[in-house]
Amino acid sequence: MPSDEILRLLRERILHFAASRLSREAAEDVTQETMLLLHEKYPHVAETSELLPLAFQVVRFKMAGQVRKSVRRGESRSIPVEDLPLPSAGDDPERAASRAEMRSRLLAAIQELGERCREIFRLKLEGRNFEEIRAHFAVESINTIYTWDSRCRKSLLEKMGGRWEVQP
Amino acid sequence: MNTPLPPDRIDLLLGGYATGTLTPEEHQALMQSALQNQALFDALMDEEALRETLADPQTRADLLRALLPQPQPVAWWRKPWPWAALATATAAAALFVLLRPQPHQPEIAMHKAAQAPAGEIAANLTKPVPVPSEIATPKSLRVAEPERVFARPVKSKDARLAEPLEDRRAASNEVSAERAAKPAVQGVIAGAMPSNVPGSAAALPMAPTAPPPPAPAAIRQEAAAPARAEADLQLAKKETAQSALDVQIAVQREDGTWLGRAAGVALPAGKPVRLTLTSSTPGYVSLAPPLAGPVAVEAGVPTHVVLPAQKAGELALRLGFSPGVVARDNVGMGLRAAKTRADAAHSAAVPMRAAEGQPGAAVVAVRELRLKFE
Repeated sequence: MPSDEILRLLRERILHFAASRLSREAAEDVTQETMLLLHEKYPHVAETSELLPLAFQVVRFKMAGQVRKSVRRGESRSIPVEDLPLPSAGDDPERAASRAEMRSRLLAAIQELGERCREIFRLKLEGRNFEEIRAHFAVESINTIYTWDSRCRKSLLEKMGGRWEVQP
Repeated sequence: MNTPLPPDRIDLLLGGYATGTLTPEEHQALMQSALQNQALFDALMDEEALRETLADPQTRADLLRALLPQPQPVAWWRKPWPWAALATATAAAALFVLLRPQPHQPEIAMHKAAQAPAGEIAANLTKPVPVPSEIATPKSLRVAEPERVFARPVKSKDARLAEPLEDRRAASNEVSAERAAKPAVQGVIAGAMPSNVPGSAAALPMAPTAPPPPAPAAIRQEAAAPARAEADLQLAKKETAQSALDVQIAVQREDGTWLGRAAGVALPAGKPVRLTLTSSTPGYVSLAPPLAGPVAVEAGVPTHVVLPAQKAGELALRLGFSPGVVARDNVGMGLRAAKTRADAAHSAAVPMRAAEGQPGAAVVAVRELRLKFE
């Protein structure tokens, strides 16, 4: 797939997703800022398998910034993209608090899962892929593992309130 | 088995995205599908928060610790140690019961007997069997034939003095001769005379002596005195033996010496036992059962009798003591060696009969020993 076609599709997906969570204008801003950042700072990332995860992270941070900006009432002017660089992997107090909260919610939700779901989740955390998990459960088809894992994921998501992270 | 998922089922890979466990092929397929599928793209965007959380090593470790299989609590009765402790306690109790020192039964029996009331002891005594008595009782007393002297007319003192001396001597001799010629009056004992028998000679009937009628049953019961006398005699023999015959017990050691043991103490089985007999009067001692021959005992001189080794159990030994003159040479010897002497021969036969429990033997004392061998 050509690079331009990939970027077009990616922009469409980002805008659609952001619009589902933010206002239309904010979604367009987030999409524009994300695409601009990918184009300017990550032009070497062309593979879909790498570009999409990178886009996911950028969009997430851009949306978080957008939310913070909307919370700050009284500030009408938008923040330039240059003022919102990608956060480092270091300890950000806000992110750390958010991560700690999500960790506690995850721990509580996992305790309510069934035995098989807990086992699948444990194996995945140990780095086992689906083929190894199939061998572990000694099932014939890997699609069975896919189905089990999808159900367990939905069950876990339900126990966490339908969303992985807490909305601000 | 790893068949590629159909495009409409590619969302099943979402769970592996956050944990980072998708294979490159699965990851590529998922991303391609997400680019074409808005719902999948949205799901992946939502999954990004989870992926970021799971990417934290601390969170990953906490989740793994929480997901480790917890050991199921096992009920206490399914654990081995309570049963092992119970079995050990049971075995210890059984060993204690089996190996605890047993109380001495004879001592307990004697102690109980000593504590028994006198009435109970008297009730347990053997009652004498009534036997027909040959001794006349007042009711069965046959009328004795009166001597003629009593039937003679009583003369007054003055009249007798008036008779010539020769006549009185002749009359006295006649009476003496008649008394000597007549058999003794049988069945008449002092004090057995009925009170209503007239004291005067003239009142006595002159009927000849008749054979005594058989005694009635009631009178036979009253005549049980001889049986009681026999029991009293045996009791007296035992008491005499207790006082006259002293017995000391000793057990032979390994080195051949003798170790004195108190009466009532258990003796070792399989070892000879020595009895030291000391009597205040000379005589002969016989044993029943005859574990050793009759032994002559001199007054005040200890005499040893060695019994052969016995098996474990209880041995009732009766010592019969017959007093008599003992030759110095025969002291401590069996009576067979002294049979040449007449008295020894007599004394030998008598204790043997006494040891066999024959009544009427010349044994004056019987002492019983109960030897317990372990």
